[in-house]
Amino acid sequence: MKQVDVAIIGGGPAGMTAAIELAAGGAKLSVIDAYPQLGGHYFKQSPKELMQQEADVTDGRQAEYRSLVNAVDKKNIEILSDTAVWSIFLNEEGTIEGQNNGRPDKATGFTLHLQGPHDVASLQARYLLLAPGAYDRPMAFPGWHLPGVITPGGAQMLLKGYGILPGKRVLVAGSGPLLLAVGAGLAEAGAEVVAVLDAASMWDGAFKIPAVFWGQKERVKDAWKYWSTLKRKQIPLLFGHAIFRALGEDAVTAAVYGRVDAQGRPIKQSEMVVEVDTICVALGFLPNLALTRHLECEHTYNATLDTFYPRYADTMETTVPNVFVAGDVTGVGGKDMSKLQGRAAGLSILGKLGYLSGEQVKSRLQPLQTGFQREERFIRMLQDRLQARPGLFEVIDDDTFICSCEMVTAGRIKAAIDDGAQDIRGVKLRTRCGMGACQGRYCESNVAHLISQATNRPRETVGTMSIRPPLIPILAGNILE
Amino acid sequence: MHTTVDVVVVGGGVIGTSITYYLAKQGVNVCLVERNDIASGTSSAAANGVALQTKPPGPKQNLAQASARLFRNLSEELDADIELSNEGGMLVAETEEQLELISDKAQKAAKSGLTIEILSRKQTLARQPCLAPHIIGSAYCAADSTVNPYLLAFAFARAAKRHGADVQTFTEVTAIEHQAGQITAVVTNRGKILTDTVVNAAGVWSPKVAEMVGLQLPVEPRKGELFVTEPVPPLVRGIVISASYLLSKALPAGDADPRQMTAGAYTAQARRGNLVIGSTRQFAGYNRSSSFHGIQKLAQLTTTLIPAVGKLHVLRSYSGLRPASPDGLPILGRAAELPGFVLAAGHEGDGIALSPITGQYIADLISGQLSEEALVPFSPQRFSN
Amino acid sequence: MSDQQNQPALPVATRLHPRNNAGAIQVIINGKQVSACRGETVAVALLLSGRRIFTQASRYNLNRTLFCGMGVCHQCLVTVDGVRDVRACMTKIRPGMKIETRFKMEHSYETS
Ligand SMILES: Cc1cc2nc3c(=O)[nH]c(=O)nc-3n(C[C@H](O)[C@H](O)[C@H](O)COP(=O)(O)OP(=O)(O)OC[C@H]3O[C@@H](n4cnc5c(N)ncnc54)[C@H](O)[C@@H]3O)c2cc1C
Ligand SMILES: Cc1cc2nc3c(=O)[nH]c(=O)nc-3n(C[C@H](O)[C@H](O)[C@H](O)COP(=O)(O)OP(=O)(O)OC[C@H]3O[C@@H](n4cnc5c(N)ncnc54)[C@H](O)[C@@H]3O)c2cc1C
Ligand code: FES
Repeated sequence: MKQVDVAIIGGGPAGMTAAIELAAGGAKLSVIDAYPQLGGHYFKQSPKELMQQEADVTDGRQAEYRSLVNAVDKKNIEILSDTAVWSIFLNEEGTIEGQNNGRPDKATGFTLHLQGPHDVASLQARYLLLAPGAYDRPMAFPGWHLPGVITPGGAQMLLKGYGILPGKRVLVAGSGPLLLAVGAGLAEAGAEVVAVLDAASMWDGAFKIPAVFWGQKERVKDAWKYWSTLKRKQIPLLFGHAIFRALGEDAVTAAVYGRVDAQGRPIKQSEMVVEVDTICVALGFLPNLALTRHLECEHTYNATLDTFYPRYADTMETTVPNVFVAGDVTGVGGKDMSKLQGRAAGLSILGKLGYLSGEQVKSRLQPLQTGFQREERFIRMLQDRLQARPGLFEVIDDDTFICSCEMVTAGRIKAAIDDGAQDIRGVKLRTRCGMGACQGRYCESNVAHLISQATNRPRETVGTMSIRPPLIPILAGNILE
Repeated sequence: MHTTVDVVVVGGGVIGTSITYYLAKQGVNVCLVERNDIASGTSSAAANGVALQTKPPGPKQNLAQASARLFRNLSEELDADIELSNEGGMLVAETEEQLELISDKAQKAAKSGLTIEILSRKQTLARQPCLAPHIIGSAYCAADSTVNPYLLAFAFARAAKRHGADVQTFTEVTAIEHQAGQITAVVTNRGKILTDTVVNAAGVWSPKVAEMVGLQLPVEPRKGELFVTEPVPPLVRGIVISASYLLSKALPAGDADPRQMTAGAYTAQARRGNLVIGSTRQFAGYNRSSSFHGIQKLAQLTTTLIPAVGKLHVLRSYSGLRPASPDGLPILGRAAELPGFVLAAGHEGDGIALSPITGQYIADLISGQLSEEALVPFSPQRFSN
Repeated sequence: MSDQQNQPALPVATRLHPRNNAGAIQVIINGKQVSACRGETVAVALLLSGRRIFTQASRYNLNRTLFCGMGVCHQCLVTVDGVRDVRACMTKIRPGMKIETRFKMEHSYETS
């Protein structure tokens, strides 16, 4: 079996930056990513085959991407693209023999099992860096299961990755900075964007803005660009608005939306109906916790964002020794935070491997501090805008699907609670909610809210979906000896 | 919570809920105490088989047959869909040796009234076209069936409540008060329940409950790993078990290197369409994690027997802890030292199948309708020397 | 039933850039040859061919299709070369690939 010092899972900004740092320090590593190209969600690259034929739709980011990729290429880092990690187990055999003497600790290795086009079906690594990023946080409302409702991330993937315009008349809704980018992107590409709705009010976090944008030239530029596109195309950007319902038989034909109060509660009198064929909607992001949960890292609950995140130290090490995290899996940090964390994790692992002394690690982590502080200021503002708004759930009726995989409605979840279920596990056993192929990644946040509301208990006490291998469905025929 | 009841049942798995149901049905004032939710233990980490022919002929097979009779109208009786399906079970032989083994077992079973047909290769493939062509025959038992184990536990609990039982979930038994050979109360984290009879149906945790009254119970967790595939149209009829499974199942505690993982191929299709594929056997303490080797072993065994499985996705693996007794038989009956303490544990890999009859017998025992002698093969006293 | 599968509506999704013929390949969607572009995913090929619905469960007539577009939600499952439940959004097309959508399919086993 192939052995490396470090396996990096996720080749987005965090994973790429860490890879460069680690390779520069002499570590042997592999980067594994489920997509055809490195770059993750920020750089969203087209597959190679399509790149040659399509104009560059990725705005100013391409230069930054190129420089990262060039650095990765130069260092001869092994990249396993189109490859997903479907399970990680602690090596039963114990330690992996290293080539390097004087290693500070005897790390127990990990065995990773992979699914992809490469010959490598498994891999042993002494250290893990998990940088699996995030995904759109689904918003449940009547009709959200209809074809034509997609996530902003999905829309962006089609647009940037494949040069596909997903719809002709589009409503963009939810919360978070991605909405602006997606609305502008779709409009530039020729879609008729009827409106961009943000559940946050214009003022959420606004008083923090002047301090926040200090040193955030890139973000200011981006925001200004998106905003001017909407202005130019006369697309209304409506704060304190949300979608209430999607209408249609086989697919979306219209959307009902209106004003919401600070809690997200719909203000019924403000309801409007608009004909659309596509609705892009999400409430910010959920960290991709499959790997950290699978490895049984401890998580803490962030009440503002209503999300769990893995606990980690300044070194980026989680509560499971030798397992590190970086990037959006740790919070709504964004690209620059992800890069900083990737560097920090890379340096810490180099220290553990013995390629850097403790002093060297410390002195190299020190200069990252100003960056961290700058990003944290920004994140505090972002959290205000992305904060959980329990009122948004009020639009859910008994027929609203919560788990599409297993076709479970909110009504059945309520019945399960009446039957005595007090947590996610109990609802799952009684309804199959979360037993489908996505392992609950798309229903957990919604079902947790329904339970915590109905049982009057805090979210963090109602449990989580258990993640069990395989992390993605894998053919039984592919795991034979 | 401060009440007085006739009986407290500790544990809300299939065994505890069944006992509570049959007691409540007889009008006994019973309280079920479960520290988590109903079916939060082994009963939601099991396969779905109610198999008779896999049990060794003798007391266990007789018990299973009596249980199967109760299963027949259980859906109507409990007024619940427990996903019972009566498609029979098939033990598939891949070698002459296995064929001999299953033929021999079939003959023995016939003596105690269980019909097992030996099917030729052709008959087997006709009944179960998904099987690989290399198989050489099978033992088919029409009385075998499948059920959804956790829906069964929920159904028992609901029906028990309808008959007046008090079901306390998220309540943990922390102590049992007793004096001069008499139980006086059950202490929980939510208060005390006065009673003179306690049923220990705490599965693999039953030794800990027994300790509360100073008794030692030889029940050990025997881990089993399973996986389920995506839902598919009907592919497997009833239960398919490789004859080699019997060998893995037969290995009792204390045999050569019991820590070693063994596995036998069990496949049955759940109502939703998922194939349930099991299972491994291993003594590994209370550890419940899945292992790559376990998943791989099961995939290997099953795709050999049912090649189409190779093209199906493994959706999720999980594992459970079978409450294993030293001789593989359940432990049913009163503790000699403390007659108010009734044991109903140690069902190992058969608790789902044996749950209705366990409930019935324990209820009858407590209400005096069944004598202690009737349960002799399962008596807790059999381990005393 | 097959009508629905083989006479798709006017596509809602469209290509932004004219396709370069050098990358053109043929895939087979529900038995019919469809021209697509190397590098694209099964989901893109389906959307561009006018299929907004990838599968339909008979329970509640629940239609499923691309939702997250990034491999997480598993709503885009289709049958590819005889293998069921393949994520259309994460699977690259290959020449001659057989893609099947499913209508009123068996994903309907009632559960309680
Ligand atoms: C949908 C979406 C859209 C976004 N759009 C924007 C935007 O327009 N502008 C902006 O400024 N920021 C955007 N962001 C935020 C920005 O992308 C992130 O801050 C940044 O990309 C985070 O970097 P990362 O390295 O942590 O993870 P990501 O860039 O998310 O990369 C994670 C990578 O991990 C891989 N991965 C995950 N699990 C596995 C596994 N089990 N096996 C193998 N590979 C795996 C994924 O394939 C992915 O490539 C977006 C975020 C998301 C989720
Ligand atoms: C992989 C696998 C496959 C199997 N397949 C089959 C099969 O196909 N057919 C079959 O018949 N059997 C099968 N079994 C066996 C079957 O699952 C068990 O025999 C059965 O579930 C045991 O039920 P139980 O009620 O005794 O235990 P459990 O379901 O574990 O219930 C015990 C309960 O007691 C509770 N408890 C413990 N301590 C306390 C306390 N102090 N206070 C309150 N409550 C407490 C626990 O929380 C738990 O819910 C399988 C088992 C495994 C692991
Ligand atoms: S669209 Fe979500 S997994 Fe394919």
